[in-house]
Amino acid sequence: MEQLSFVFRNAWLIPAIPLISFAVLGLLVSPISKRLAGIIGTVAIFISAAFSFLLAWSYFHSPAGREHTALITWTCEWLRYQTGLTVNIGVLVDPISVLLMIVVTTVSALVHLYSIGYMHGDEGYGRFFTYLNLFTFSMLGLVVAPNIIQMYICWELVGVSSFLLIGFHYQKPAAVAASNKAFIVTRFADSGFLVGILILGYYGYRLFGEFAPAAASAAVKNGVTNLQPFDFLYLNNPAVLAKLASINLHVFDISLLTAAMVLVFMGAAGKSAMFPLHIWLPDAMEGPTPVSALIHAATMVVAGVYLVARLFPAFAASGTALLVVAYVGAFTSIFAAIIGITQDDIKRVLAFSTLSQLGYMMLALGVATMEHPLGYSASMFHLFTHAFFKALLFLAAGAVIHAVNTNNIWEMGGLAKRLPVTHGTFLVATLAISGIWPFAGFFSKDEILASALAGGHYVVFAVALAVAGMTALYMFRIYFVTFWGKSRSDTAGHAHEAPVVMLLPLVVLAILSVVAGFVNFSNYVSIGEHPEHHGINPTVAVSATIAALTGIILAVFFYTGQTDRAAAMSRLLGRIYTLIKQKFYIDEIYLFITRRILFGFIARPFAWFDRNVVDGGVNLSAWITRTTGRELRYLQTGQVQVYSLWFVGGMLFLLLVLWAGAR
Amino acid sequence: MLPEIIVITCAVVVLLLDMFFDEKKRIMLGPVALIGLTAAFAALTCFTPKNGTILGGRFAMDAVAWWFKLLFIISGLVTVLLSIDLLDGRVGVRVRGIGSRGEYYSVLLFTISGMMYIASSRDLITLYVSLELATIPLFVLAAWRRDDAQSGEAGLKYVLIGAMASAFILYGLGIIYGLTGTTDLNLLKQALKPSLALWLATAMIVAGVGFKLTVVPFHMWAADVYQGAPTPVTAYLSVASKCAGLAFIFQVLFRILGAFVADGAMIAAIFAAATMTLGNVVAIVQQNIKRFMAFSAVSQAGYLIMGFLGNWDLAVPAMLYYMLIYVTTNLAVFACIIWYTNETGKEQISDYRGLSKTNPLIALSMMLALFSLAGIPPLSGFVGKFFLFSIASKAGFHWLVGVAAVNSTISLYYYLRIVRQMYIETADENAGRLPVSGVLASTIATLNLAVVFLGIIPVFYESIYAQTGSWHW
Amino acid sequence: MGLVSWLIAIPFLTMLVILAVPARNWRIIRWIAAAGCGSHLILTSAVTYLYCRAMTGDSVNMQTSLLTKLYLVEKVPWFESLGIQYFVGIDGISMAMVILTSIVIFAGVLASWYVDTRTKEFFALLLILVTGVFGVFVSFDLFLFLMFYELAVLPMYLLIGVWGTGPKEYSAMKLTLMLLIGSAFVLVGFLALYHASGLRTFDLQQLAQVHFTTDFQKWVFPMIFVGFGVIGALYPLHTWSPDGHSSAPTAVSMLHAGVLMKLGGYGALRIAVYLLPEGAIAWGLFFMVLATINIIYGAFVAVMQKDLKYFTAYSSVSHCGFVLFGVATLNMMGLKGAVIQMFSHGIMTALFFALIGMVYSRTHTRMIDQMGGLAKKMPWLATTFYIAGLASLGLPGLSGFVAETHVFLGGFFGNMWANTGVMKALAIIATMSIVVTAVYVLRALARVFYGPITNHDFEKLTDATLPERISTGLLAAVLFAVGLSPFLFVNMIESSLLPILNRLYQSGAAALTH
Repeated sequence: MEQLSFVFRNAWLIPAIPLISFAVLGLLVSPISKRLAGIIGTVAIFISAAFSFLLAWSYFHSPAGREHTALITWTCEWLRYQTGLTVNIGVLVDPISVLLMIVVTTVSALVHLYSIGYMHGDEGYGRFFTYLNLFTFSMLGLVVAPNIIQMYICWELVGVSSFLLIGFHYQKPAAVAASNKAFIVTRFADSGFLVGILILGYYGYRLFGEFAPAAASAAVKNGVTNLQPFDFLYLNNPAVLAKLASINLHVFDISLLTAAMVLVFMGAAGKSAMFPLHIWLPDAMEGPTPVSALIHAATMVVAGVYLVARLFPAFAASGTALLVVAYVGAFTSIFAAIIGITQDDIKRVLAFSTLSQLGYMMLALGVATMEHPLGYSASMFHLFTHAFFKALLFLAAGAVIHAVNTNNIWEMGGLAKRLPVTHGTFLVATLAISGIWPFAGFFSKDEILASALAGGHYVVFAVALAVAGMTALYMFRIYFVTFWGKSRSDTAGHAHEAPVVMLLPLVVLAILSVVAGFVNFSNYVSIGEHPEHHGINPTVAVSATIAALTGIILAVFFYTGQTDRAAAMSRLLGRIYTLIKQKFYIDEIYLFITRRILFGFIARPFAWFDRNVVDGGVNLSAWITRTTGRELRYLQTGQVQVYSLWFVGGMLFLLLVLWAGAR
Repeated sequence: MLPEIIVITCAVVVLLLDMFFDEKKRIMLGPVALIGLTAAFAALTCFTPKNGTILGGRFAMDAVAWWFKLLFIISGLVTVLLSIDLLDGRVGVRVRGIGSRGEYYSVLLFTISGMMYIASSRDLITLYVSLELATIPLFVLAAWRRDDAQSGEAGLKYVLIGAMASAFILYGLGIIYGLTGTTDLNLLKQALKPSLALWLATAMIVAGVGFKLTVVPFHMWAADVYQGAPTPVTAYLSVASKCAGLAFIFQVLFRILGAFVADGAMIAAIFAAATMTLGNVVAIVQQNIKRFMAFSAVSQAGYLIMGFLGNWDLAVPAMLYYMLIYVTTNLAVFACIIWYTNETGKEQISDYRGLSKTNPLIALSMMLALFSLAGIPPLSGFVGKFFLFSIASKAGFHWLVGVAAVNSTISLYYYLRIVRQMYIETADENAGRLPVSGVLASTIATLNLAVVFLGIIPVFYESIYAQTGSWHW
Repeated sequence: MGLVSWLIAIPFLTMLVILAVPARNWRIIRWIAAAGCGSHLILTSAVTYLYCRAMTGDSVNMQTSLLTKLYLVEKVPWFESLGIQYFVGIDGISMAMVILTSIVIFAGVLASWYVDTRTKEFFALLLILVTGVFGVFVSFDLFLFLMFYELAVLPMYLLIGVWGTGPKEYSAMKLTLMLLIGSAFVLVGFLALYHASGLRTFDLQQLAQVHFTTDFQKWVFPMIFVGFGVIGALYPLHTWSPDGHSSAPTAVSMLHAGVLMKLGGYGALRIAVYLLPEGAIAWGLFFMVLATINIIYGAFVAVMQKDLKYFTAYSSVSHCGFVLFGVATLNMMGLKGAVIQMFSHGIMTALFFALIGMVYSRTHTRMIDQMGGLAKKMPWLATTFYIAGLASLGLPGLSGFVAETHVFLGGFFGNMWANTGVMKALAIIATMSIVVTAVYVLRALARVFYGPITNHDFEKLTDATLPERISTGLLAAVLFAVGLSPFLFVNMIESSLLPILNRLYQSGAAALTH
């Protein structure tokens, strides 16, 4: 392969710079000067954003980029578990990693900028930027991971930085609870991921001798000199996958590969908040709004999607796992969309919409195959566009909240003229997410629907179409309620536009949400030998647009003017409405399981057992010894006759033993 | 036999001086006894060969005998040192009716000489006579505090059981003589043949010696006598009379009977297990420290007789070494007890409350000594026990090793009871620092140095091993 | 007198110096102690450097060796006639443990900077204890090993009994007796080894060349393993640890949970598995099951704890389970994981107990639900506490992760003797513990440090002082160091594990054939 250019060789700087600035901020700056912390953090991210654009440019203009081959541009041994099982941390450059690098650095940079204004005057200002840098580093490390262990490591690190940021206002009990919930739920998912890694690592290691030579020679063009069982290049190797898929577990008649991939997907589902592991995401909105924008909308939550994409060949090789992905994704998207319609907290509505969109990306991946990878690039495309308009939505919502100090949309209203810029950008984003031409969402959704149709997954297609409608409905619902009509609270009455430093990112993102759709995406990001190029499919486009328009019209019908149609509607639905409004009581079910079952039926009995049975046994033995002593003491009567009796008895016993022993 | 002569003459001299001195001069008697014993010590270490016989082989020297004599003299020396304060009345709390010093010292010296003869005699008769010489004066010493009922009781019990024990031994020896017609230990082995009578003799002798070694179930006397006797005497009993018993059993077992006892190891194991366990378990619940030490001594005897499980070439050195350590350690403990009783007249364990505050150094040395008894490294007690355990293990009695090891843990429990009183419990407000006489202080210090270094410096064990390991019969 | 002897001697000499100082000027005493341990830390780093330099050269030809390569060896005959000798040296495993101990004791001395009752005795006993610990880790003669082992255990009684809190006498007695019962088993095993070898030696190196009969190994191995298991908190012999730790003063909890509990894993690995491979093969799975119970059970019990110290003690039970689990896997990754986990858990739990002590000295309560919102008043303590907590739930970037993945992989990869299916299952069960750990750690820490300040007395609390910052900062830094650059550490110990494995494979192959 050709000598890598400067940009490639130093691609490791992209994650490294945030790491360095994190260390600097954490150890030195933020204790000393808060303003400086904000500046340094932001600048660092901007640098690595610039660098990643540079990288993207030179990658897609390199031969490797044109045929979508991955490059390991930098690597070093981090940990040798045993000979032949080494973890080489490194930087993997391929279409999706480049894509994610751009998304992460861009959004992160803008969010940093925005936070300078948003977090102004917060006592934890310095800490905030430290955490943000930590997160950005971890996310980039995850994106560039060339092997599954590094993926897992950064996976956990993004988890912990999300934990830290959700609980940023650690004196708010709700925030603390939310952060713990987020970490523990994802942790639970990760335990599945870890087991999946164990399985892949073990069998990968076992088959290594058999397949390594071929895989290694294949990997040379990727710039890999010593291939390891944990490397994606090895795990995604068709021969290996075929072998793994051929091993039957004889449990529900599933193959080893399927088991492993489903476990891995469990991890992905946890991060991307797929049903039923979605419960942490809405609560995560307790975090500061920039955090919600960056972590819980644009970047971290798509890590799950990214993981599935990263291991796509493996998922594809086990068809079952891919179906699971498709249906979980589809179900989540509609499930979340339904709930989204009923929520009153602006950020929670956005959270559920995020869930729904993530489901979209998952289902897109699910309907793709190695032969027809359209869904794959569609999913990545949607990830790309969604990052921008969803981040924009959150930041705009943040600006609104900043102005009116409430999250409840029913206490807002009439903000359109008071917050012109915010209103404008929010509208753009809303149109984008609703999938209205020419906004970005239109194109990516269109591809997804098209791929679902092309893949013959009609159910999924129908669901996706319905979701498209609902998305428009709930988005325009909050749009109308927030910005139109009269202000329903005096704070909303005297709202003021946010400072420029906050508006600038909004504008930039708004622009991106318009133009991002015109990228001919599948040229850049695809997988497999024969990438499919996709023009606009009229039937799909039309039907999607109709669905979206229906949603908008419904929103207009229900939520504009001084009507109480919405209330009437909810009364009409009655029970069903409350059920939806209460998010189908999923949280309550979880609470029951943990509190009652886990704590009540396992932990407490264990604790009791330990104190009373195990420890009791120890004390019992001590007691026995003491009692024996107390009893035996009474042999010591103090009477000489008794003593001599014992004496003679002992002598006779001795005699007996001797005599017995002699014969 | 120079040391014996010195000791006996010293005893007579003390007696005479006691006659001629008036009360004030009698202060001198203690020092005289000390000088005598020191001279004997010097004579033993410098001028006495480790082998050779006189009186036509009736009296022989060998390494084992030499070491035993060393032990006897040391325990005698220390006992005198520990007694001086009490007898001269340099104490915080006067003990009524401590008899005249002269007799005390001379009687003590006589027992020592008797014990020294046990180690050297090669004839059943001298053996028995010297045993009696070693034992009878002890009865007197036990009852020394004339008008103290407990002391009298102790003496009486000791006499009764002791007499019985001696009788058993005498009969045993008699039977052996009857079976063979000779009293020469060296000839007996060839002359004897296994027979029920021999077993009876063996049983009787072992029982009689078990009395001295306080082996269960011949140990019963110990508790009462230890408690009743004057504390220095208790100290002496706890070490010297054990050594004497060991010396005697060495003579009898290793010279004559050992060859015939078929499953001797098993018997020893059973007795060892019973002794250590009972001693420990009962010691847990004792309140009076002397009585407590009695049971601790019983359990120590249990460890000691594990030595009989092994081959003589290892067993003898191990047991001698253990005895050496046991003597120093136990005397160290008793030194502290005696000091405390002298100063306060109290004997309950709970009385030692907060000693670490009032007299830290003594508390420290008592703790060290107790830990050594419990067999905690790096103190000598650990090493001594370890070698005995090793013998049992070599003989394949792993279960016994287990029992013994667990027992020493149990023993730690009750030794820690005292440590707890001294260190954890707080002293009463009015408790001030108690005075320590120079004699006691130096004794305690020396003994504790021994306790620490006997285990760390290998020379002691190595020389014992070199001299007695190749002990031929 | 060689370097390794100095490793043992320095604490002892420091102790002597302290004894010489009159008790009233306790401030000087603590400075002496700190100086002693500081110089020990320096010496340790010197030894580490020497070791690493010597080791890198040799590790190549260790591949097939059956004997641990020792460095800085000192061998002096002691009780010659019984083949007992003063035999100390350093290999990878003991090196790691020495580093651990040296760090923990230094931190411990700083953490007990404000002990003002009977300071003299306190530091003296602490240093005796540490002397024993160092002795154990560097001695390669079983007699010496046992001697130091018990020496290390005993001071615990007074340390807990005098300076402890709560039912201290009870806890102290329980701890001492249980541990010594354990060492009683070990003693039986050692003597059996000594006589069965027929070499009249306690020299580990020589005993390692003996092949003991299978039956012998089958009964001696559990003897020794259980004996060490007691101090390694092997279920169900762990109950001394919650009471002991909760009653013990800060530095003692640190040393005990941080270092002494490691003697168990160390002995089990270094002696039980190394000398008795067939026994290990025969019993591996059994002890693996027990270890799995440790892990899960300890975690679940920890969830229920209300007292911070009990909480940490049970999490220690759970984490020491990983050590035993790793030892029981009998493969490279497992053993390595066990050693790393010993180190990591040592540092981590020492940090935990140090912080608990510091928090307690301020709030005067250890009850989790009586605290709240402390992070506002003591950010440093909160941060370090969270670092420790995250390390204990195995967060990548901190040492816990490295250890745990090793152990999981080790369990999952299995070995050629035990039923690998069962081992995989156990490994997966053990993996589940990372969730439970997250649950109890985060709940407790959030309760203590986050949320609004509940108790108004807490309003005037202060953050860590300089000695406390040094102590906790050092420990936290080590957690990061191992977590971020495990390769340094792993290479250090790997070559010393090879002989153990080679012995296993050698006799294991034999065991498979017949």
